[in-house]
Amino acid sequence: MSVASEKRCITVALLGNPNTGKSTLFSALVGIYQRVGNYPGVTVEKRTGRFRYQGRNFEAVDLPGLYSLAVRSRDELVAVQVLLGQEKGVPPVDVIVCVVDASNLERNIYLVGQVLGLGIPTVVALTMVDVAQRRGISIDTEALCRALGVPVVPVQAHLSKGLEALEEAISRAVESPPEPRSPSLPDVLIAETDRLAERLAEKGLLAAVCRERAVMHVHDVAEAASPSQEMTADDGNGVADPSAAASGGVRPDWQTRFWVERLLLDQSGFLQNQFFGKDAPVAGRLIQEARAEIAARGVPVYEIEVESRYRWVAEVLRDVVTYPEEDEGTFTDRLDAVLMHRFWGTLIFALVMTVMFQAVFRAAEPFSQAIDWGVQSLAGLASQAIPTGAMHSLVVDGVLSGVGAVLTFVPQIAILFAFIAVLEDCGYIARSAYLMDRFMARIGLSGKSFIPMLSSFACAVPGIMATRTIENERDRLTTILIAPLMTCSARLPVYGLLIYVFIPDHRYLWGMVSLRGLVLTGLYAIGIGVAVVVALLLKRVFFRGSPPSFVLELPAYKFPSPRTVFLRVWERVVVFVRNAGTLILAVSIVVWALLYYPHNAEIVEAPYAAELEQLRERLDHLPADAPDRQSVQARLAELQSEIQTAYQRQSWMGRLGRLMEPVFRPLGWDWRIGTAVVASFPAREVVVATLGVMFNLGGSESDPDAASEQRAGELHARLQAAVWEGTDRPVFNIPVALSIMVFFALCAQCAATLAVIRRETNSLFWPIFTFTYMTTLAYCAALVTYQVGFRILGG
Amino acid sequence: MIRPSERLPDPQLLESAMVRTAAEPLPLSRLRAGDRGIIVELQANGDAAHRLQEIGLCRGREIRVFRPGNPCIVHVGGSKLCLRADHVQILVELIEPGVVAVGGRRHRHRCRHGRGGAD
Repeated sequence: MSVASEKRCITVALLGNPNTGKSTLFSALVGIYQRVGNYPGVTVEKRTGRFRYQGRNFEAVDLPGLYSLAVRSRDELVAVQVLLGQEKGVPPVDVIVCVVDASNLERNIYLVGQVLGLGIPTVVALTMVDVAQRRGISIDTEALCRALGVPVVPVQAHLSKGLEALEEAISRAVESPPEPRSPSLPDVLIAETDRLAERLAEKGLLAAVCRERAVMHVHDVAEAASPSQEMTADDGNGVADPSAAASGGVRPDWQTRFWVERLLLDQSGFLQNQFFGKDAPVAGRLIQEARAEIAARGVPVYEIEVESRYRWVAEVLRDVVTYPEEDEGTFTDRLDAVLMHRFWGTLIFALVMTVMFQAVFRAAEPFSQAIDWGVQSLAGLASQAIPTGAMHSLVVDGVLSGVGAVLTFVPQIAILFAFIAVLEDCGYIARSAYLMDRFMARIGLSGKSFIPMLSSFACAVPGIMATRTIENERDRLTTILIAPLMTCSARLPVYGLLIYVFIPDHRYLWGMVSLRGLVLTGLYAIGIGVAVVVALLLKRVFFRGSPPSFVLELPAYKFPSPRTVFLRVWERVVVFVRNAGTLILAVSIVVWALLYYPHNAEIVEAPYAAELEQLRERLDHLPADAPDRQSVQARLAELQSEIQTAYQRQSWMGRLGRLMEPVFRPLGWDWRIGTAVVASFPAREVVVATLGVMFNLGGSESDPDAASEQRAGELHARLQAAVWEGTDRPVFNIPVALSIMVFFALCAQCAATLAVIRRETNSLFWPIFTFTYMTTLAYCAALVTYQVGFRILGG
Repeated sequence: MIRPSERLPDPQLLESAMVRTAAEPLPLSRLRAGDRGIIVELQANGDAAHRLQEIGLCRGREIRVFRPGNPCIVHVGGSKLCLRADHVQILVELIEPGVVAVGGRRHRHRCRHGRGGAD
């Protein structure tokens, strides 16, 4: 029977254990044109791409790495729903390519055993054959093929070997769909599954099994009536009408049957809650009865699947694989003997991290400067091209300064991710989790949280994205919530400015330790210290319960694949830039508008108009070389920046700032600092520019070509000279500077971070929670800093 | 040669391994680097146990300690796992040095450490 008509795209799902080279194989199949997104409602990465073989189109879906089809989390649920054709947005899977690591056959074949139970055409792609050979493991591919009853194709994706054979096998497999079989499960389980399905149907609960997405799927099928459905229908186990299954008496379709079996075996209660909601207790009783029935035969339920499947695996592999007589230590073991050594390993790890951070800050600098220069020149061009007015201000002050400030961080993010991608691909990242686990366990997290935290020292956005590798939902949330407390590179401009201006350059211990360095270190320490406390509190209050045991596979070391590294970095940068291009742009425009409008020229400029006119007139009449000319020009510039400030005062944001001054006053801030801090909500580094504007620097009105160093010096002088309005008391002193820095160490003034938390947690609650708790914390800490500092150091 | 039993649960061979090992089952945390043994019991709540078993830590399989402690690094099957077993108890039946154990593999690791133990 002609299954897939020529015009239709054949859907191929890639499934396999983590670290089997699945993603490498995927890239080799579809090339670099991959679409990366999320499945609706969850943060599971959805990666698809297309390839052609002999005139047929194939759509490949790369599923997340799984050890088993046992579903206990939303992420796993999505992966399995894709396989069963129950995930909207993904057409029903025609062929499963099971990627199997030849050097670890038992556990990989375990998953194959589960896949065979689905009754979807399956091809086994055998990877890491070279690694297995080096270890002296020999595998009889033919025999494996016979034992499994599905084609087995050895591939070496990084060398593009075996790809054509795999494509051939895939397109053949579509033609001959197999019977679903549970070769590895005992009869008692199969019988109990059917019984449970019947009982659930009697109570009218069977329809609830995988209801949400299944409904969508049936709808899709009705619409598309694709040939693949004929295929399964011909086979006698097609997608039966779910209403028939629900009404009871009819044998449930194979998907429903799969879910009932999983319900029976799932001890975590995840599926039960997922499917039945408020009916969970009723369903739970039925499930418990079925489990008791099985247990009565002498096997605990949780062991029945694993034991019987592994027994089946042993049978399959009996005539297939030969192990070496003596297992001499592998290259990986010899390397691990040093790298995982308690002393040397930790030392090397510290060294690697130091090099990484140096690279992030040093190597990124020229690129950041180039981008900054580009944005500045663009601003210069725009200043000239667009006539003064709202549009001019919007482009220069709103769009370019806001988005530009964020874009300068792209090189840092790219370099950081290149490092992490290389370390991950060669297998070191998993080891770092081992090395840091002991420390992380003390704050109730596991080693897996370490890399996200580390990345957050460069930028919290990639750090939070890196939490995807943490399976435990509570650990993941805790890590996401404390990651923004790490001192990211965006805080450095703020610290740099304030430390340089206000902290005296005292040196101790023969000049080796400087007060400025100590303050900077102290600010890093505050971030880390507070993160530890918050993590402990979250674990005590929000996420109670015993921490799960922590298991992580340490893959064999290998040379990193340039293509994988490039793709990983490219994807992250695109996500970051897209963020900067949308959300940050929007927030920048809003903040700009609040600082610009109502822009009432008559009211604001009236008090200055007379003097301005007078000065201009004098300037016109003065000869070009008159000695007075310079002082008049200076006065004119001063007047113009005063007008600028008057506009700030009159703006909505300025009014808000003055309204909120009582709130800021206990921190030692006047309304201008307060406004600058509030206006830096989109990105904290913006505060430097805003302070410049607020304290009469003229901001972007000044010549954009002026050397930035000169401008910085000017800003320093202005800040030191600034006084409280109507008095001659200086606004800034050491306690004020410290309180601002402490505030910025702990606040969540970063729209990009909040946006990524929103995306990664798929909820509005957590970004709001993060912003609230961090701002409260920042306020309190700044308050304490100022009040204590004020009493010790005096105004 | 084919020795499927080496890594796979097989009740018969598990039994024979038990005969050959003199010592009582030890918790994994007590094992030293290079120690080899057969997992005889995994005590954990159902869900955690299921996961650990699926990843390869199930009854009857051979385990070799690469780095002891908590977290520890162990070899199971063809894979190397990093494991922090706070709420999990893994009991291991040591394979004594010099004994031709399951699958006929000799145990130079044990000999190198020179731990005579119970024999």
